[in-house]
Amino acid sequence: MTEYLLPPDANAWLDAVERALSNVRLPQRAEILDGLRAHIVEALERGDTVDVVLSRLGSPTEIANHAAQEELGTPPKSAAPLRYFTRVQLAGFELAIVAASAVAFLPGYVQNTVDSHGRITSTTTSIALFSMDPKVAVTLVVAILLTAVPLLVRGQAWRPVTFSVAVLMAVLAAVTTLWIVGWFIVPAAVLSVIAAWLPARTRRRSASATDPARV
Amino acid sequence: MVMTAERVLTSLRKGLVEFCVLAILKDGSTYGFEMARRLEADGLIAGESTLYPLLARLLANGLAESEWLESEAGRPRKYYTLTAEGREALDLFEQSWVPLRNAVDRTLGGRHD
Repeated sequence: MTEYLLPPDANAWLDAVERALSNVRLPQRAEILDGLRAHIVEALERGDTVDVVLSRLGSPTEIANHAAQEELGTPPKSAAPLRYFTRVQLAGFELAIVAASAVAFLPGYVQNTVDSHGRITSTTTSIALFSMDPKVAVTLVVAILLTAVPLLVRGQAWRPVTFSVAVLMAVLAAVTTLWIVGWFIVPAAVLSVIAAWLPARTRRRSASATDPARV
Repeated sequence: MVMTAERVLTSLRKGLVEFCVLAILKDGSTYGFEMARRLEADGLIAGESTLYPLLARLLANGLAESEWLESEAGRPRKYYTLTAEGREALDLFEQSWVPLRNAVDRTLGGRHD
């Protein structure tokens, strides 16, 4: 575009328009400003005064409102909503943590102190955390780690990892029910299996503003 | 919400103006100022600046394109041209608009009988 010296009022008005259009995507913002600048040049050459030209064009806020109506703004930077199978996996991970916490804080053993006459003088109750069978502890840690893995994996590896975790969680729960602790991780295992069976399709986006057929 | 003539007009214009712009471009390339003055004179836009965000969208959607060309005024002007996609969109609009306009006219006419 050939540079054309505009009166200071027109430049100030264009600067204000540019600020008002800060939410508009850069190519469209440049296009609007380009069009307005050319419009002002044309009107001034035809003999209109700056005041008349700017008053006919309206305020920067009005132009920003028109741009908003044309949906030229940058999309809000909100986090993408969690897909439903990710929600199920997240719930499985949370249930594994809850199961581990529940087992760890259950009463583990009761210690009674007796005097020389055999009477109980004091009773101490300890939580299971301090007397936990290593097999149980390992089971719970493995369950938490397994349910966390699909949440950390992205891309093509996600599907096989999810299936593997579902199988491992099912086997872990089945085997460890012999030590009771397996029953605690059954809910997390069930959710892992459900997540593996859910179809991995994402929600289709609604028609965008760029649809030429939009009337 | 209070219904006013201006509100009715604004509501009706919405969605129609872009096809009026495409219809102007169908007759040949033109520049923003000329289009803005014509649309405003015909009451199709409320203000001249309304046109430029609309043009930005039409360009972004590939319905129109622009280029700087030497004008008879001796300096470059930004001319807007209809694309094949824009022509197609205009054809689709015309196919829908004429029956719709006739139906509205019949309905309004019938109400006055």
